[in-house]
Amino acid sequence: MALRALPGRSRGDTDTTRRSMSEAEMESFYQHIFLPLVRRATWRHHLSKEDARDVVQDAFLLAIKRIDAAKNPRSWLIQVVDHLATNHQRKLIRRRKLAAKWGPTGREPESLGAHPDED
Amino acid sequence: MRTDTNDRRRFIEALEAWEWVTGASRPSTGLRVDQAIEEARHVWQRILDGETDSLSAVPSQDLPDVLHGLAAVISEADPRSEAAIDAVVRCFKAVDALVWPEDHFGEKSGLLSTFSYLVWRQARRTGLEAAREEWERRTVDLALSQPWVRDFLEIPAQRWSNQLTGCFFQDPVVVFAYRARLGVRINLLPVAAWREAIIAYDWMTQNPTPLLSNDERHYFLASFALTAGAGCKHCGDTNGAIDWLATAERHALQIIGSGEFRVRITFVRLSVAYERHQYDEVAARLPALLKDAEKVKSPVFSAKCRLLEAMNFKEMGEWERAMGAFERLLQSEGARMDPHVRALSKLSLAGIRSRRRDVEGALALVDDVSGILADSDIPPVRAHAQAVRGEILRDHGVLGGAIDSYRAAAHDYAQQGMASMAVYTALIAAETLLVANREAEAMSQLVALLPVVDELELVGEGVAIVGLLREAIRRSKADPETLRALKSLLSRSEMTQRHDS
Repeated sequence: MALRALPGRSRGDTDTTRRSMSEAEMESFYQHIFLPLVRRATWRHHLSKEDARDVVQDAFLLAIKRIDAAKNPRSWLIQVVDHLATNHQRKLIRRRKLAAKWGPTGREPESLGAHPDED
Repeated sequence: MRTDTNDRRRFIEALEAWEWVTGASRPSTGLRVDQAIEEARHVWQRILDGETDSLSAVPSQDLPDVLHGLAAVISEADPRSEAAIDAVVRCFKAVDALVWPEDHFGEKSGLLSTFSYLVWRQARRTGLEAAREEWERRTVDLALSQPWVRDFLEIPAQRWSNQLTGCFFQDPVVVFAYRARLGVRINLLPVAAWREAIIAYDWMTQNPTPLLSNDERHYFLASFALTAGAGCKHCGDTNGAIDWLATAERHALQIIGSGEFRVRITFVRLSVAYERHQYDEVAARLPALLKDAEKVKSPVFSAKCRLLEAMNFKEMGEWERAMGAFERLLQSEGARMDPHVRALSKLSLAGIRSRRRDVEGALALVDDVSGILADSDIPPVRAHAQAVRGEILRDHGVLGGAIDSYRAAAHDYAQQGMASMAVYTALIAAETLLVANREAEAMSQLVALLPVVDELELVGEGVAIVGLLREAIRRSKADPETLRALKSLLSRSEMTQRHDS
């Protein structure tokens, strides 16, 4: 499971904490934290990989703000991913119902079916 | 403690760094779902064809997605032949053999529990009872090896939020583990398990579960209804039990391969008939149940059915047959595996020995049960053991000891929330007080029971209390305090009835 592509923004990094993270650590984070959570949101909650990525990135943002209070950061993070993914899935279902009712053909758009992938 | 804090700090630093690097970009997410599913179909075919190393062709970075895809492919394929179910077992073994470095989120155990669940589900649908039994245990163990599943199952159902339940109840493995836990708890904490089963049932009927198939949804609904029925039976509400069993049967109609489930429903139905003293009906229907129970291939379930048979013999006065049945049962594999069956068998045997005036033998059996309960505490059986000890002592004139045992039993039943059993046992304690010429104590105990009898509308117990009170008053100068309390309670009850009418 090697790192295949990790597109990132190139900024002038002046923060000590950020400078302390090496490429190897970033790759390890990608392989062992980011990808497993994306897979969890994808396969457990039937989201597309795109949606799963958004859910995980949102979970990371929440974690940066609130994780201090959590006893076990990984356990906490997995719960946040599950919650956000469930919400996202509900939104998809609502949209699908609305599209079926009010869409031009009155039929369910294919892109909103189970496990869509728009990559 | 310091290590935990450092670990947390490093983790948050890593999150910040990740966000800094990737915040405005879209990190790659590996194989697309459709690609993973396509690859998984090839893998599944290779496994069905008997290839031994079918995962080796999958690039390592794609393997987790392909394995998730493989679970989805198998779930949809719904394989029913024994050979195909063996192929699912091979998938499980292949995942089990993988080395999964730095698995912070338990992805491997999650996948293993999913494959194990699939083997169980297909064995259930196909009627492969031995495999079903084996993979049921394995799936529950694997589900519980995941900390977040354990954490969720520790939360009492009364405190579930809709959001939390929605998260966990999308996953059949979690619902499965929850159902199994309720099945254990119904014998240990019947009232708590009964309430939780109703909450789970209500949640599932009121909320969509798009990730469960129709068969799975009805299987779980039927399971919760069955647990609710068994809980009602434990608590003495046999009408409620019959209603819940009818609900379980309705859902069972939608289950693929529902044979095993229907046998379990029949067992609870006959247990309810036994509680209602319909011993002839139980005797008439037991042979068919015992025959079907053998097909379920569960030693513990068979032992439970044999226990019902032996207890029914006892209640019909066929003591020789009952003793033989209990002795055989105690030698069985199921009884060795299940302390509940062992303890109840010994208590029933103790009852028969006592009636045959073998007090020492009877009390020795009750002591054996105390030993069983010391190893595995089963609160309702502990209360029952106290009640049986009370019965033995009373039958042999040791009234003080009998009263203490009955009171301890009533207290234990009340602690478990088994109110009707607590009232029934307290009534017998009061009756024994009367036999011991302790009328004043009997009266205050009977009066203390009235509010509970009133609340639970226990008509039979109410009539018994009135009879016993009349007897106590006739035989003694009634304690004025007790009479005042009784008068006040009766007038309140009368006012309530007038108000209701």
